[in-house]
Amino acid sequence: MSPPVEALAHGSSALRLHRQLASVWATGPGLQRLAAVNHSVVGLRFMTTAFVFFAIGGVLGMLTRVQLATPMSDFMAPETYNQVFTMHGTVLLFLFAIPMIEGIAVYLTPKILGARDFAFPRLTAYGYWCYLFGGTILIGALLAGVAPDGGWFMYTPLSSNVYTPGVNADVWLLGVTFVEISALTLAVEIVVSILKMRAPGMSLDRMPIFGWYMLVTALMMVAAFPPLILGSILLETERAFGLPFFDPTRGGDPLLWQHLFWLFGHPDVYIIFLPMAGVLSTMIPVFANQPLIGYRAIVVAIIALAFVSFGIWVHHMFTVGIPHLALAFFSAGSAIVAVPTAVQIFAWLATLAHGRPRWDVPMLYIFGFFSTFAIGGLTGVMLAIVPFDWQAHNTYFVVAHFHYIVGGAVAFPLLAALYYWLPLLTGRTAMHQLSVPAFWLVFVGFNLTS
Amino acid sequence: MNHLRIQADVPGRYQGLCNQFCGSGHVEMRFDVIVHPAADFAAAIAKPDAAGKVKQ
Repeated sequence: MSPPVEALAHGSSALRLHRQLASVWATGPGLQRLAAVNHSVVGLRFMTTAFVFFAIGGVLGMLTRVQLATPMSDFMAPETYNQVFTMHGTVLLFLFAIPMIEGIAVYLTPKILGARDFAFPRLTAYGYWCYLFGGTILIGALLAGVAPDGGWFMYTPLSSNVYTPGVNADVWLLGVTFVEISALTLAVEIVVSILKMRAPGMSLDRMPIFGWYMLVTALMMVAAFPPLILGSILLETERAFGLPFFDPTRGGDPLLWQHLFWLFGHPDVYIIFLPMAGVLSTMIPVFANQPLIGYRAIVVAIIALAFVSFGIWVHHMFTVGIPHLALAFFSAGSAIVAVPTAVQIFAWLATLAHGRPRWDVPMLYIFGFFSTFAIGGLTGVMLAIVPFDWQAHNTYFVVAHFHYIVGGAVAFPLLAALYYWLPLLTGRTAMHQLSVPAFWLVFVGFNLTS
Repeated sequence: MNHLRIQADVPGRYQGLCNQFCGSGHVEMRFDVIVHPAADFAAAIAKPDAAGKVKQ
């Protein structure tokens, strides 16, 4: 049976239109690759670059563990160790976690919205080059042996030019600020694209749930990143030009840094969690063979999460000496933030319970997510209670808590997402017989070392 | 400057260590707290060299 003549003619004209469109949008050969603006290309570059930093950060974490495996170990000199553990946190938080979720957002969001590309394609490319530039500054400093060494949180007064005279802290402030500017440009891009570029007929309440997650995340980024950029500029002007923002002997306050850092830093935890929750909400219905339960409840929960997450940053500072009323407020907020998170967890569990889960490789990582994130979340509620926090502050309990949070909230869902979308990204599927032992290696290794 | 209030119910020598990462040498930042019985406190304060010095 042959197709009708009209359809053939229509098909060839569609093909011609497709080729014309592709020649406008495609990336050129050779050096023109540097000018690529297409969201698929830039998104893949984001993910690939972030994966390289993931590997670097992981190796730094292993070096830290080797040093700590035996007491008084001579494995690294103290100066080297300080750089290695500072860079472990800096690389994984600023160069891996945030850019990786941005890469997934850049790659997936226009496809999910039914848009040809983002609203400002050149801005996407600008964001990528800013990120690569900032990351290169940091890794270059690590190779040159002058990497930041004041902890990934860069607390003043240790990070001031009095106590950290070299360029180490300046490298952090410059490199991270470039990465933050990159994140801010992408946040603007995502908000505008979701609000203005959706396919005809796709009202906000019919948008795929991933779109809601990205809209809320991007709005949070617009509000959360300026405090850290501001703090970095203030600290850099103090270091370079002697301005007294964080110096108590000249009327400054070292706690100002902690407030600015955590006003960014706490919402940032949800900024990296929400997109991963978005991919979980997308994948779980597929593997459960059952539509997502509680779409509206989840949308309300993520909006609530966004607001509450901006009112709890002081729980990183319970021991610095703040008024009792503030302690009570931030303690209550930190416990309440578990509620919208739990709404999503129970929506996913309900979806799985009503369906027939298929134990494919992404589903294994989703299981890894549930078990680690539950431990991270419950230890978080313990730390939200001030008397307990006073005992556990700055101990390995906190270190384990936040590793379970970022491992559960980012690493496991991310690996699930990469397995799930690998055929879309590369045209190939993963080798099942290798992927399953790889999961158990990751799962057992994570629980043994974090 | 900074005050650190420590409650000790039993006299003795207590060890403490720096809780906030403070650069190179952080590992060696340790201190001892010597708790005297209330009756001996005035005498101990009067002779800080004998009572207050940390034994090496």
